[in-house]
Amino acid sequence: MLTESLTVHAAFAAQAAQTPDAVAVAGAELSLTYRELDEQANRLAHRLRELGVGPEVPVAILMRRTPHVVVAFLAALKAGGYYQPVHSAYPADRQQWIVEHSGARVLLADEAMNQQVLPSVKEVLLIDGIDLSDQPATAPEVAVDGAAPAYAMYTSGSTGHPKGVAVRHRDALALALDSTWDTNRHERVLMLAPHAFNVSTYEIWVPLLHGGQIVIAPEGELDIANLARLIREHRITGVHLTAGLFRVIAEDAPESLAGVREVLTGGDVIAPGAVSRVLAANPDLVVRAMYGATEATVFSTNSPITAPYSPTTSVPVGRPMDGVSLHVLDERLDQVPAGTVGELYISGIGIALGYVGRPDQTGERFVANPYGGPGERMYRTGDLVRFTADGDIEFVGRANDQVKILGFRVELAEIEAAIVSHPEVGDAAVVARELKPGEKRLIGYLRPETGTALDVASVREHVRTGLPEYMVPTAFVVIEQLPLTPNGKIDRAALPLPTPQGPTAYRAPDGPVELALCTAFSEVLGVERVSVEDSFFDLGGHSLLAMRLLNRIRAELGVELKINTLFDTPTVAGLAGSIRPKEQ
Amino acid sequence: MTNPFDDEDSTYAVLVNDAGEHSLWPASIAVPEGWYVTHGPSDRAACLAHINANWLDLRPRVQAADPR
Repeated sequence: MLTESLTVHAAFAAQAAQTPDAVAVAGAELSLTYRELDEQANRLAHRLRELGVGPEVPVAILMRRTPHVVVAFLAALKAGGYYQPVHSAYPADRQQWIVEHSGARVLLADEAMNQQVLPSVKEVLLIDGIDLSDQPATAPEVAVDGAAPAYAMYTSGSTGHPKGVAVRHRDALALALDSTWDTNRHERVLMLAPHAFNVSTYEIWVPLLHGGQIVIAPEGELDIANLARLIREHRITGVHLTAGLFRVIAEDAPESLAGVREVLTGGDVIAPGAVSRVLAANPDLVVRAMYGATEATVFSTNSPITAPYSPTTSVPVGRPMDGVSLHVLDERLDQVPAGTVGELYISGIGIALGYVGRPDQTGERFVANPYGGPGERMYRTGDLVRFTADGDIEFVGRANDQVKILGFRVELAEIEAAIVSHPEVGDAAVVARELKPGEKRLIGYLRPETGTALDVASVREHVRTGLPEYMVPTAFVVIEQLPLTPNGKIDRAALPLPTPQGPTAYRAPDGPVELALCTAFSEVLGVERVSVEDSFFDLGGHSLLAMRLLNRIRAELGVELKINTLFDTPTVAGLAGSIRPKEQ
Repeated sequence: MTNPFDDEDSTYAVLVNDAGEHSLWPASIAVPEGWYVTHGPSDRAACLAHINANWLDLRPRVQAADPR
C-alpha cells in the first residue's frame, strides 16, 4: 500500500534510478531516456523554484504535444508545485480566463505556442528556448507529501465558466500504480489525448512509473492511416481511444490495432458492435471498458473484454479500481438493489481535493458519505447507473445537462451562458441531439432580444471567441419562444428539430469524382443530399467524421488526402479540384 | 429522479468534518458519522454562500496567496 508521504515525482525518481538508459519518452524530433528526462526536469525545477514555485503553487503549461510536455509536468512536481495544463486549442479568451482563475504566476510555453498570443502572466518560460545548463542536474530539495496537489485540470462548468479540478499526489499515484496495469500490456503507450485533460494521467504516469515508454502522437495530423502507422512503427502495446474514435476505428479499420495488447476505451457510451469488430480482427487483444471522472482521478471502474465476445445491448463498465467504493443511491441517499437505476456516488482513493477556488461548488459535489469511515467524502457523479446481477456497473445516462461531445465533457449551461452574452440574444437553449447512433450534434436555440433582427452568423462568431470548437453548436435555430415545462424550466424535448437543408443552393455533382465525393459526404454525415458547394463542417462534420471521410475517399477513389486539405477546401467542388490534377 | 442535493426548493444544512472539509447536506437526511452541522437548516443558496465564506483552508484556494 502507498504511504502518505510518497509523491508522483519520488516514484518517478525511483524508477529512473532502476532504468536510467531506457527510453522514457519518444517523439518525432526528440527522445529522452529516463536519466535525460530526470535531469532536464531537475534543471527546469530549479529555475521554477527561483520563480517562486513551491508546494500548492500552480505552474500553467501551454504547449504543443511534444516530449517537452512530460519534462514540464515533471518539473512542476519536482519544484514542489502542481501542473496546470491549458488546452492549446482553446480560444485566447478561455486560456486567459483559466490562467487567471488558477492563480498561476508562471507559464511554461514553447516556441510553437509563442507564435500565437500567449495568456498574460507574470513570468513566461519557453521550454525549448531557455538555457538551463547552469542549473543543477540533481533534484531540488522540497518537502511535499501525498496530500499536496499534483495537478489541476479545467473541465466544462454549468455556471458559465470552466472549473478546475485539483488532484492530489496520492490519488494520481494510486491510479498510476493500480493493479489493472500489472499486466505488461502498457509497456509502450501512445500519448494521444490532449494533455490538458485527465486521460493524460494514464498516458504519462502509467508507462513512466513502470519503466515503460511514452510515444507522442504528433499534434494535428491524426487520421486513421497515421494512427495505424504510429502503432506499427512504435510497436504500441497500450492505447486509450475515446468511445467515438474507438467506434470509427472498429468500423473502418480494426486491423490498425494489430500488435496492440490492450485498448482502453470510454468517456462516452461504448458501442457493443464496435467491441465485437475490434476483437474479431484482433483476437489476442484485451479491450478494457473504462468509466471515470476528472473529480475521481480519471478512472473509477474497468471491465476487461476478450474474444470470444457476444455483444449484448450495452457494455458494462465493470468493477471498481483498487481502493475505490461505488454507491448507487436513490433520492433519499438509500442504496438501491441490483437492477434498479440510481445515481452513482464514488468514494475512497482518487476523490479529488475539490474545485480550485470554489468551496461552494466543491461542497455541493463532494459530499458527506453515509457509507464510509467517519468524516469521509463521496463524489456525486451525476451519472445514472445500475448494478447488474453479476455485480458490474452499467451506465444508463446522465441525471443532468452534461453531455459528451467527441469524448469531451460539456455542460450545456456553459454554452447557453456564452450565447446569451451576445447582446442581440434574449434567451437560449442548447441540446445535444443524436441524429445518427453515436453521432451527437449540438443545436443552439435562440430567442432574439425584443426588437432586434438576430444575425445568426454573428452569434456563431461570438460563441467561437469564448468556447472551444467542440462546444460550438453545429446548427442554430431562431425561435420566438422557448418551450417551458409546467414548473418553468426549458422543455428541451419540445424544441423543434433543425430543418435538414444544406446551407447553399443545391448544385448537382459533375463527373465521377464529384459524384463519389458527394456520396462519401452524405454517407459519413448522414444527410440525404449534398450540394457540391456545401461545406463539410457546416453540414455537421467534425474531426472524427473528417477521419472517416478521408478513409472513405481513400477506399473509393484511391487518393490520399491530407486532413488540412479538407480544412482548407471543405466542399465537394474544392476537394475534387485538389484530386483532379493528380489524375492527369 | 431529482437529486437530493439539487432541489432549489428544499431545505439544507452545511456539514463540516475534522479535516475542515464542508458539505452541503439535505436537512431531512440523517447526518453521517464524523460530520457536524455548522450552518442551517436554511435554503440552498444560503448554505452555499456559507460554505464560500467559511471554508478558507480548502487547498485549491491557498495558492491564491503570493508564493514569494
